[in-house]
Amino acid sequence: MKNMRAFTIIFLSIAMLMLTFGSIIKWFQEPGTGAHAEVYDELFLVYWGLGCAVAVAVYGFFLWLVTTEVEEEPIDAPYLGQIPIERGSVKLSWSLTGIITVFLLLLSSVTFSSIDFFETPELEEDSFTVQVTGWQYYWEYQYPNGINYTGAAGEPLRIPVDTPVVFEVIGGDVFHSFALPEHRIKVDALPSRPNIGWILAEETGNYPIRCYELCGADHAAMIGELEVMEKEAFDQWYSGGEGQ
Amino acid sequence: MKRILVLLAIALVVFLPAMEGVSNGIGNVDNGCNCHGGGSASEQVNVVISGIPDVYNGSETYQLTVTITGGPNEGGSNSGGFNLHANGGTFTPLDDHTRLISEPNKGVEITHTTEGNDVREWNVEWIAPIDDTNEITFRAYGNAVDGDGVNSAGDLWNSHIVTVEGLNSDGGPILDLTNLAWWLIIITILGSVAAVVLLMIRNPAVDKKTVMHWLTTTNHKDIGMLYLWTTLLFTLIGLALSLLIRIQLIVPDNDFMTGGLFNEAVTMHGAVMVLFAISPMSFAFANYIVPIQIGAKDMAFPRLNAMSFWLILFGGLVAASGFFFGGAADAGWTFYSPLTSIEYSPGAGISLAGAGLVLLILSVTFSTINFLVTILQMRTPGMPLMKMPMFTWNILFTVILMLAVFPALLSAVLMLVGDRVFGTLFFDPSIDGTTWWLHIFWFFGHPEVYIVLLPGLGMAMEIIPNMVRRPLYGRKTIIFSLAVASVISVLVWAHHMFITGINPTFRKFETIGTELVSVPFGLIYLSLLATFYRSKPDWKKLPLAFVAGAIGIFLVGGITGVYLSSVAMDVNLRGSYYLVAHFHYTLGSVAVMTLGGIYYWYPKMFGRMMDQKLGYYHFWITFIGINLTWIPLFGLTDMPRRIYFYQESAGWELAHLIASIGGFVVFAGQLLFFYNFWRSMKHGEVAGANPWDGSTLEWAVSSPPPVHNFDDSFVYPLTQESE
Repeated sequence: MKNMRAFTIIFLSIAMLMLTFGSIIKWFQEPGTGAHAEVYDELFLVYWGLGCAVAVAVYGFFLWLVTTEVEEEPIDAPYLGQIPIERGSVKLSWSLTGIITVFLLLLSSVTFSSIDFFETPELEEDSFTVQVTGWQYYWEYQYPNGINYTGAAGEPLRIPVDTPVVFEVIGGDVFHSFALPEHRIKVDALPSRPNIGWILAEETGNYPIRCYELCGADHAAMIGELEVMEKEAFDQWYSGGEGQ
Repeated sequence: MKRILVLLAIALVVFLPAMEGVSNGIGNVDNGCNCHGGGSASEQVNVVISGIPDVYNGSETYQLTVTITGGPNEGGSNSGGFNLHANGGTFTPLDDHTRLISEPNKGVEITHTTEGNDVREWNVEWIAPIDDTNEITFRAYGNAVDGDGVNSAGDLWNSHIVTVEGLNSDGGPILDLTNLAWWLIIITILGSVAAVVLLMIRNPAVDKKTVMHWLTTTNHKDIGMLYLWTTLLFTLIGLALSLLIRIQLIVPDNDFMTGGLFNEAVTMHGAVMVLFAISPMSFAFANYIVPIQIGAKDMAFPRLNAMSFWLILFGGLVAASGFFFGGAADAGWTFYSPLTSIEYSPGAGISLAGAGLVLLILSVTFSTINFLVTILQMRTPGMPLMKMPMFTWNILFTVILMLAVFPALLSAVLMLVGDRVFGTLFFDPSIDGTTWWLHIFWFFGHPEVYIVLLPGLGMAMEIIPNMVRRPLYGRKTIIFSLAVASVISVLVWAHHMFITGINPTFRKFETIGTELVSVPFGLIYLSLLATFYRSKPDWKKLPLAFVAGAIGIFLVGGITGVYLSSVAMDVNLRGSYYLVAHFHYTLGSVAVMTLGGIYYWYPKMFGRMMDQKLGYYHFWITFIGINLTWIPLFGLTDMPRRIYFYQESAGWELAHLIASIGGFVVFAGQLLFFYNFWRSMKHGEVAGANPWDGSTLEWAVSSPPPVHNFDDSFVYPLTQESE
């Protein structure tokens, strides 16, 4: 029996360690930037904390059950051909139902305020809309003043820093998904209708644009680039065509 | 025979030019060069088109040269002529030696001019078509002219035909044997078949029965056995495909597989595992165990049952056969439109997968009716619905869900095949067919997850009370929770399409609904745990170890699933490796529960116990392997799923290295399991009728059970004394 307790302890510890490790490793990945990332990372922290707490509680409960609460001769051990016996309390079930439901509804409310932020662009005077079209296997960008080019040859999507920019995303041929992982933005590019996303970049630099929906043989190669520029440099490029 | 072949060849040579619009008579100059000399091609003349690439790129320009050697009057004036035709792209003359043919083949047929009559080598330019998914065939006809300028007597001709593949052509070579990945696919498929055949032959029941018996059997236990062999075969194929994926991703920028082959592996791994392996494997036990558990002598419709099995077998084979017909389905097992349309996936793979799915759905529909009638009508007197064994309860909810949602998949597949084969426009983007596909597919696809899960949970609900020697905690709560979960599961499909632009209010409803799914499953989970309260768990029994491991894994899958149910979290996690890790944790736990089920019922099916020591090795290797594979991948929240390479700069290689090692560990564990399975059939400890002290009725009959399970004197419930 002691041997088997050891077995249980090892097994549960591994499970707990693994869950914790798995959740934490996320923070070793590329850090977020921009207005969305602040909101998203905070939300992730809430979920991560609660998830770990629930996991530790449940594994702990299990561990307690199988190590301490062991009966040497159970009174109602099952025997062959019996009619199944009811066990447990209905009141406990209902109260658990209530607790889990309230807990989840509270979580939902946190989620809803975040999604409203993600999808309601906070526009400023110099905001504008870029139409992004997904093709096999590159992105095409159309600015309001008529600048139009594709990222097929590695030319980046240029936007100014500290300015909300709206993306109107559509699939040119098949279903793509336009995403800026570091800015925590993802907009599905359906060929049948446009979807809206927006960005408020807070740091200049170059970031990858990835496609998150299988779009054909070279889905993996569908990597674009976002260049967040200083406002002056962007204005120069945007008005003169040759800023960079 | 030989003569017929020769005649056919001659007919081909004679008629092909005519078919392609190349004139055959002398004098019709406008239609280009004619074949001089009449009769058949001459071996003395050699016509060669050079400059054609092995594989062409769309829109690229190639310079081609047509050369004639041999024949009369080599060189000199009036010495030759040619005619070149391609069924795609456009030709451009490079000098005044060549000109395009005006009509009807303008652009795709080119010939010599009067000036070009005096040479035997012509240069032309060919621009490949934009669409590089088709094969292009070049036909060159060349005359070696004797130079008398009078008539064609004495002239000789020959031809050269070349076919070239486009870069993305699907009609390519059926097997690319220069590619290591192909060899692995072939070896694993043959190996899987061999392994399963070995297991079948070793089965003590087979020796007594002929092949004819297995082909025509309608006994539910034999059909359960057939399901088991078939699903073991599909599981091996699915596992092997997953190994291909893991090999491909083990290092950055790997070129082990092409993108197309990788997509085929990913798609078929998903489709085979979800639809043809895990779910039907639990139906192996449903077929074998459920009728005995409820005290019936067989299923309600034994012949229909046999038909279900043969349909699912051929369904799986048809779906997987795409590998050998120019490429299996490669659009992901979710088959998102419009990538599945004939325009973007011209190969046969998706149509074959569709045909396989139709067979599967027929099979599932027949099974559903069969199980519903069996469970509702054929229970032994004395067993009311609420007193049914839990595995049977779970199968009942599973088949009800199947009946509700598989018709949606059937209609989706039929519309898709209609679009591909008959030119209908159900999923045309102009009428928002993309969203239409998402709705109809996920209406099936989400409950399908529960269809896979519930039988596994049912096994856990049988095994835990049995092996901790206490009754199941909260039996009624569990049954009502299962009912609630089944109802909610058909209402929350849209959480798979949170950021596709669906109605925001509907989306909030779906978020709440999805999170509410956690309520019944939370209750079920806690009830399973509470069964251990004041109990006597016997960890020496293998099935308990597997089920405990599985519920440990399931918790990780469940909690990470709550993250995904949040619409705001889903914005970032959708389509990433985090999602992939999440559903492999849930489905992986079902697989481990099913393994527990195999260890649990193996003695009933084969009359012998599986080896305990090997079984524990198998458990630990599998448990550690699964965690090793998927825990690192939770970290890759920014890596898109289904990509076949990644750059070193992305920083993902360590996670993938660990995951690939884990994948091999899992596979090695399953090899051990197959060895144990094979060995124990002859060398296992003899089990007797009730090796686990079980309470349900399958343990009241001998192992393996007699043909009709119970004799007429059987009465339920058995009293404790009659044991």
